[in-house]
Amino acid sequence: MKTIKFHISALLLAAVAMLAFSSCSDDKLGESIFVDTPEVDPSLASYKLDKWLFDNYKKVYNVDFRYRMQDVGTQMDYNLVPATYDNSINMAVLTKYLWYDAYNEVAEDGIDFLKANGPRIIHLIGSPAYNPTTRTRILGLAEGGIKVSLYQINDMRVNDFNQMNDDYFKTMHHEFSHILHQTKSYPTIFNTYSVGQYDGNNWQDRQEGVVNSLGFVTPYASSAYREDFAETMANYIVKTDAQWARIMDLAGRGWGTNSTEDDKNAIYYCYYYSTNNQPGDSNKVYIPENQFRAQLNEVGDTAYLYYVVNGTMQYQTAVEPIRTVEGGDTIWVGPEGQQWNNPRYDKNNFLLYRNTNYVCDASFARIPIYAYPAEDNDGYNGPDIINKKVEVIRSWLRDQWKVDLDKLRAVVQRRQSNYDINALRQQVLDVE
Amino acid sequence: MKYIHYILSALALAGSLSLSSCKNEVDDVFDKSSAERLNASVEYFHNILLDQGGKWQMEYFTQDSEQGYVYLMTFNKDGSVRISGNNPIISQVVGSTATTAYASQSSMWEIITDDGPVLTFNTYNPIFHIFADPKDDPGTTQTSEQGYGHYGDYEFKLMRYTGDTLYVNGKKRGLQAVMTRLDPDTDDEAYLSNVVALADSFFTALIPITYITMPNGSRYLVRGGASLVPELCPEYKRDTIDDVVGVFKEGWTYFAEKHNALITPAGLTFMQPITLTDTNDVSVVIQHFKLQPDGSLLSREDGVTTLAADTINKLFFDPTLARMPKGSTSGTPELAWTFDSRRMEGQFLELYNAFTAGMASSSLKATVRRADLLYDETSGRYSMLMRTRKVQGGTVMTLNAFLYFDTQRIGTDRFRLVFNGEGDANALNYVDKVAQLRALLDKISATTFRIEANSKLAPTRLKLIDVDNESSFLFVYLQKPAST
Repeated sequence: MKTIKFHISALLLAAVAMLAFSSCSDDKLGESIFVDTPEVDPSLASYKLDKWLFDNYKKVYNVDFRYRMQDVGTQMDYNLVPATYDNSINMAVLTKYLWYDAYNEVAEDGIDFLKANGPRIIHLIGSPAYNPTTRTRILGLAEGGIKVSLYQINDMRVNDFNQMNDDYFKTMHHEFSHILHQTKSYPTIFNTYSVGQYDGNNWQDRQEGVVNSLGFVTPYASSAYREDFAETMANYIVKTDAQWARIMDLAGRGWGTNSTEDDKNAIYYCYYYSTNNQPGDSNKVYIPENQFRAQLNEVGDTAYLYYVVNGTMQYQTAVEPIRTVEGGDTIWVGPEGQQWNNPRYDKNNFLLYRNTNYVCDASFARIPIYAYPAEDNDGYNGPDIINKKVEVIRSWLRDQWKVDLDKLRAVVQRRQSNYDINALRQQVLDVE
Repeated sequence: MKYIHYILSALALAGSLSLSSCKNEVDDVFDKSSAERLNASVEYFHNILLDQGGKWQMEYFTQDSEQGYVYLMTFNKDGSVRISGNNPIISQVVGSTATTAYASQSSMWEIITDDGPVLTFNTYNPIFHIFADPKDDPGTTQTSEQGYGHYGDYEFKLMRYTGDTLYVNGKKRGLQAVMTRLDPDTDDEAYLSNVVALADSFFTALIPITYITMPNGSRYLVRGGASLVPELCPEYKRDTIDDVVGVFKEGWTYFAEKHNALITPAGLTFMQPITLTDTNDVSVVIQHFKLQPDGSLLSREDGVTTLAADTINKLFFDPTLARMPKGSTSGTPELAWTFDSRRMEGQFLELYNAFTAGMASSSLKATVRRADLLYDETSGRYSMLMRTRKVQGGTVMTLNAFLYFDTQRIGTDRFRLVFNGEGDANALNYVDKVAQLRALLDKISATTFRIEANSKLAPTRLKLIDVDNESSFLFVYLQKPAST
């Protein structure tokens, strides 16, 4: 044992001696291998944006707001392209106005709240990230609470806050909620409200109204506990009162399907009509929400008309589907093949069918849908479950983060309903 | 004593180790660290791109089923780059109804070091990044979207620079793009319009088949050159299949391979080298073709292999062109060689003008709207289809009239068209009543012709020259027939 100790001592002595002798001359460090680049380069065409980002994100929050795409910072399995410079300006100013400034206004800790908890990197990507296998696309990613990637920036419609919310800001609130709950866990009672109803593999095939009625705010919320938490929080914050009311409305309905019960891919609908205007199992045909109101929004949308013939209350399906065609015109095709492009609605937003032979409201006849609500027999009280989930989030935010959820929602609603993109952009353009 | 022995041993070991580092026995392979060399290469390529005005032509390919594209890029010191193009995809981007459209847009560029020196266009330029955009071609919907788009690149590994040519490789797809330095005063729009015009002059949909002729005379048929994704098929194999097997229609299905290409002012370039095999089983590799003064293309690889249409005399008697519907001597032809008196000269000009004037002044009072030459494969005859119009009783009447020529081919480059007195009733009535028509037919019948074409690759305009009087010629051009 003693010998071993001595060997160790000798080796240590050797090491010390080696270090002492090893410096044969005074070696000077060479030049740095790092290129000395300024934080913001005034010679670049992008200087104004670079400087504004430096002053408003880097200096304040230590956030690297990357608008020049770096594919190594993305999931390289996807095919992605950069954001346009112009839309990068839009996203930079809107993110600050609708997200950073909103939290600063509400959080008790003020600006320090996002300094401490916000992401370090925001990465803009011009295109969506398509997954052809699941027929889904990624809207945003939060990686380890450090980086938030925002996709399809090139499709921004800056004055359409619904699109902005759906594609970006809801995503930011969603991803930020992940950062928060990964820092301080939310109460596990949240996970019990929809236990057994999550479907991580097929959530994209579930219909909005059906999942609402089960107590989820979106189909994606029904994929997993944590996504449910993030989706509930994000949607509660950004959805307008009318949009939130619609979620709750759909959540309170029943849903039926025209398919057989064994069909796992069945499409569910919230109303049905019957061939004799009377509810009954033998003659139900389910119709979806969007066809119920015959609302057409996008090119390629189709719907069927139901209308009154000679004042007799009956329904009839149009010969041709109504359709929206290229060029922005909506062509409405009636049962006799008539076409016109100025649909009118009554005060209840029901489509009016113009035909002078049909007596109703002068030359316009209301198109009645003799529809009955599908029975709510899923065994879940959708609105109640959603409210419970919101309450968990409300308490958790207040207790753990000193953030008032409803105040935050009010601030976001106020800001998103009343922003001037040109004024916001001017901040960048005015950079000296 | 034993301990002292250990201590001395340790000191000796330490001394030997420490002294050994005082001199390097092996010379460094590199005089700088890898990081410093990478930084230097960034600066090197940065300066190359900006040098001499910073204007470049990029030969850009995406997927092998799609034509290549020519882009002009002007790199600026402030990190911006102006990119110009004129192609069918840009036409879609800008919402034009034209086949191709010109556009020029600015975006950002940078040389980064994530995979060696890499040229990245890292803000979106709608006329360039469209090829890397994951959105598929129009027609896909949100749910059917595959997310592949055109399979294009927007980041390029900088490989090498020689003689004002920069070779770069797409970082994601790996396809090579060649960048060639241009004069900074080059007008982007004029340059690219010329590229489009060149493409139109190289290939025309009217002549769907051209030929690559190898050194031993073997040929490959090139079908659909106008698409810039032509099919190549060995002529000899096609014939064999037709004769022996017969199940492969014209042999195309089995032997044809598609190869994509692009056109620059220098000529035509296929995306990848193509190996062709001649009848002696000797291989020829082709990729780049240089435009020749006669309108043909010559391989840069061997300086012998050419790309051209069939010989003019063969083409004039090609049953796939200017032909009548099979088994018919009347009706609407698929293509027609139409007379153009504005480009005729000499005695033929005089006779042709006299013919049209004679038709109007004769008792027929007929206006010649158009006259076509049409080859009838079945009979081996050429027909002349005259489309005339006259007003009779207040009604405009349109009449078609056919005359027939026997054809005599003399050697490889001369031929005669001899009016044999045959025609339909309308035509024979014209011959009977309009002496000037008879005179024109007599002259045509007495003439030995040779042909000069506007291009060896797309010969759509022909002079039918009187070999005994070179200043006298008929002029015809290939076009789709007008409706009668």
